[in-house]
Amino acid sequence: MQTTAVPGTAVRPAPKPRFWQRLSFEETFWGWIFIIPALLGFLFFHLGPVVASLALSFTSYDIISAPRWIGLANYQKLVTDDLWIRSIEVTLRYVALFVPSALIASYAIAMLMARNIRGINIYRTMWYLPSVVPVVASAVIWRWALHPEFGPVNYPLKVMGLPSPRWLTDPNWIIPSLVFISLWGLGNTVLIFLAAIKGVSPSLYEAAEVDGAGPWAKFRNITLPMTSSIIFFQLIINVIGSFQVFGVAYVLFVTQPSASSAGPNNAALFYVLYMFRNAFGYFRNGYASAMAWVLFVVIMLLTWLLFYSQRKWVYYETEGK
Amino acid sequence: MGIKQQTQVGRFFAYLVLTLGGLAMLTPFFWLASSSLKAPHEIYRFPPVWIPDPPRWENYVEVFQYVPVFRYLGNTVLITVLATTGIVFSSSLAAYSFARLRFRGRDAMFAVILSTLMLPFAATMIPVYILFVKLGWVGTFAPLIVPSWFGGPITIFLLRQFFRTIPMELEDAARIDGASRPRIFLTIILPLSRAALTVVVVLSLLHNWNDFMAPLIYLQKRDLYTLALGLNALQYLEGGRDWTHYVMVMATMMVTPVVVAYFLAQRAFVEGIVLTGLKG
Amino acid sequence: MASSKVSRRGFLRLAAGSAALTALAACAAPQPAAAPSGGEAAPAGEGVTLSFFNRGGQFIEDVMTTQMNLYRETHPEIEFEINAVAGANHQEALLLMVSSGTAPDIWFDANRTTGPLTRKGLTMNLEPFLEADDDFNEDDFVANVWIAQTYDGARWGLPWDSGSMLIGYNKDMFDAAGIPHPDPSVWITWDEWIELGKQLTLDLDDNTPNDPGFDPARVKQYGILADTGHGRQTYMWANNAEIIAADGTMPMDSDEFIEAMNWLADLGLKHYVAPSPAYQAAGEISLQAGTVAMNHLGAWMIGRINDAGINWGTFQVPYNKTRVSYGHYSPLCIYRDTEHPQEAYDFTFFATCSRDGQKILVDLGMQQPIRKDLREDFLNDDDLPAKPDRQAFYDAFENEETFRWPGDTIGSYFGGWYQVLLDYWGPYLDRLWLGEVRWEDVAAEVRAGSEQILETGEIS
Repeated sequence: MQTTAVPGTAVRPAPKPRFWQRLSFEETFWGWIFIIPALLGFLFFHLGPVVASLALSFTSYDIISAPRWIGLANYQKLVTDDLWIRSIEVTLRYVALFVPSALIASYAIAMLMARNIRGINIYRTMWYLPSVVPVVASAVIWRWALHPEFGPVNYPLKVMGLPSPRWLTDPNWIIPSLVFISLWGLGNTVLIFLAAIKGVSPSLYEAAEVDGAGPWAKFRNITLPMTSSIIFFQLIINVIGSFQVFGVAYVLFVTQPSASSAGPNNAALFYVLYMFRNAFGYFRNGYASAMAWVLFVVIMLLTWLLFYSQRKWVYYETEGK
Repeated sequence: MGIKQQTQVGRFFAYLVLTLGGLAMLTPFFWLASSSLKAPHEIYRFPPVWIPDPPRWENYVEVFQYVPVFRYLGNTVLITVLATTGIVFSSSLAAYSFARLRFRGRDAMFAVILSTLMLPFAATMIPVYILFVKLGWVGTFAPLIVPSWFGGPITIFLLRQFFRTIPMELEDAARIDGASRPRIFLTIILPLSRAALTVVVVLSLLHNWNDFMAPLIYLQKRDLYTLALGLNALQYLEGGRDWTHYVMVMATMMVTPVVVAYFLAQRAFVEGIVLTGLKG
Repeated sequence: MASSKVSRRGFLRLAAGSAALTALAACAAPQPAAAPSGGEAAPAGEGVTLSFFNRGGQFIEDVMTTQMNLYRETHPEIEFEINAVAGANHQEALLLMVSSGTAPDIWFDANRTTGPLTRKGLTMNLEPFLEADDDFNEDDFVANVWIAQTYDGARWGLPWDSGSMLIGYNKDMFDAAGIPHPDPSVWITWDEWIELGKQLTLDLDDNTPNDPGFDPARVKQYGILADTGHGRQTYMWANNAEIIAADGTMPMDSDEFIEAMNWLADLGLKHYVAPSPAYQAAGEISLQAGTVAMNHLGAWMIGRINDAGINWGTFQVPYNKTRVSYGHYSPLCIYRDTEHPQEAYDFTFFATCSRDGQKILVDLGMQQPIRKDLREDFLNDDDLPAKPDRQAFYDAFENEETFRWPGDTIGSYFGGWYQVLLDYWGPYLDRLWLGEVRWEDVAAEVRAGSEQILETGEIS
């Protein structure tokens, strides 16, 4: 019998207790054994550095000389830092645009890929190709592709008489451009959804067809719920990841001598980019650590909220806790 | 019949989207490949040159002069194989535990491991680097391989979600037969998760193949460079020549094995989970 | 049961596969992959190992290796260890090494970052070494080559690559437009320059800005690329504006400064002779790409332009009120806390200032020689540009009347904060080039922020 509603289980009638649920020692034993590598990894490679970075956030540290304790000064300074506010703005815009589009687009494409159409292997590979290109090369590619006159994006738009924005130099279009570039590389997400969709037992569909369900009903009542655990995964990962977006903006805007540092009017000054600059460009590593921890708290709260919402819409096979 | 027409329309629509989208996906890659056959100042010509005339096949030969491709390839393969094996091993174990086994502190542990994703990497860059220096691992492959054998939060999370979709009845049946946990893990969970495990392998492969930030910081000696680092090093700076065309060559070459691997791996997750005669 | 067999087989296959691949890879990489860092530690007592950190990529590293090999012929007891990081990530890698106590003895720095690193105490003051060095004679060297490494009147690095900045022009484009080649020693004015630029800017229908049908959004060849990076200060001085005044203030809101900045923006926005982000974004606009007729560039571009096969020459940077010339070098710096200061200095001196060391750089087209006795080598080089054009590179440096450098009034290159200032100015400049603001709209704000940086090294 369930005692409390447990996150991760959809609403189902309480299952009959199985006889081996009494073997809790065995479960506990194996449970801990199996997570030993991960636990050791955390303790060894993460805990120390994480605590160190928290400590650093209360210091002034320019890397070259030793850290100097300054208490909450970094955090206080953050609130008055216009660039910090700007970086939050920029990042939120990106997250709001990227996460929904990434989820919907990759899921839709995965649905298409799941079909057994002739030549589907080729299509799948074609669609996966972009996410394989190294970041450095993709920066070169996109600087070319988003050329306002001759790039393959704007040229057809112009020919059709549609508006053709200056993707990389118009402050209003920089974030959408970066979202666009990120979406181009969503092959991995499609891959994960594909595996999930393919994993839905065909017998479920057969049973539904017998009941006379059409394609939309099958999708809504079988495919979506059965893959919801993976959708949830992607949602969490995308949220966590997009708050920390860095790589694409870094290679596009920072590493080219002729390009501006973070877009016109700092339109591409992502949170982690600004943090990175503080840490290594301006020698304000303590300040950067403070920034990191603020972000950490925000992400953690948001993730916790999402996990809490799980029970409303995510379906798991596991019963019990 | 209405349904048949629906299916036909659906299929046509699917083909259309897949083809158009696929071509759109391919275009930048095609430009990449064609740029690998140009001289550097031709790459940014406008209007763009799609088929260089004449194509500089010698780029592919010359790049070997400047970049010890085979050595870097060997390094990259070594790191990728070892790291991928490690992460599949350690993550699947942990994921099974989080997905199926019940013990006190489980959810707290999971939250802790997941939380390591939430702190930006730049925050711990310096302490981690110092840690590796103290261990004497800087200047070796160790920082790129060893941590994978101790779990990766994303793959643990992913596999946990997948494992949770495996019907309990299978495990129940095995438990009735008296199977131990490790046996269940090896003989039931893993085989049924071929798709998910393949995904993890592909993800890890891709990450290790293309990652340049970590190798850049930790490898430090040209002998140990990976392909991605070799690619990065070709970017020109003030005082140097312009080697953008070699960047294109390296990128094109680097992409090929991964694409081939992906193409071959597709079969694994197409087949999905096989249920042997159990009703849902 | 079948499934379990598959999994076991699968596991075995995986294990065998990785073992095989590992063996293969181990053969391919003969150096022991897990060797601890340190490379060749010199036998205790004799010999010294100097670690060198390279930010410049493959080409730079090859040059450095050539120099090191030459040096070892006369100094066999010195071993070198090169750690190479290419791209803009070098700053992070360098700082990581410093933070963990594994800083390199010598590194190749950028003129932008030497200042901040010096201000933070990372570099070693080389004046005492130079004074004590009998081989060092100030007169052997071209004047003004030390500027980008000069802070508070002392030298904190020695110049390794680069040179002066001039206008490089494409002779074929001039011929096509029917314009005679400029004389490299003649200084033209801004107005004359714009006139030339207009004749040399062509859109896709071969219209120039002087023609009615000209479309600034479809330009295939620009007349001018005024360097808005390193060369920007030249235009300020040429208009009698000042970047850093003798009293340590930064009069970036003076009328002359405003006029000059607006003029730079108008090259693209109003006269259409230069690329402007308002009309065009990606794609390479440069002399070597064949997309611009007159490019404000530095001597370090010589190799690249020749590789592209451009037929080119040079002339001095045009002026408005005062003739100005400029150039800089990027240095080799020595770590302040190195264990082998004298050995590090000796090699650095060899690589940057000695005749043999420098000759390597000059022959590779990397450096406009700082030694007077290598001048002839540089001038008589078979590659383009021709001798009178190469002479112009020297004239830029050696002309005491025209040579200026930012911070010359206070004896410190950009006050020691070049990179930080650049990052601060970035967003304002972008808006200026886009035509969203004129300089007078932001001048006071930029001035206040810049002066604060100069004083404290902190933004905001």
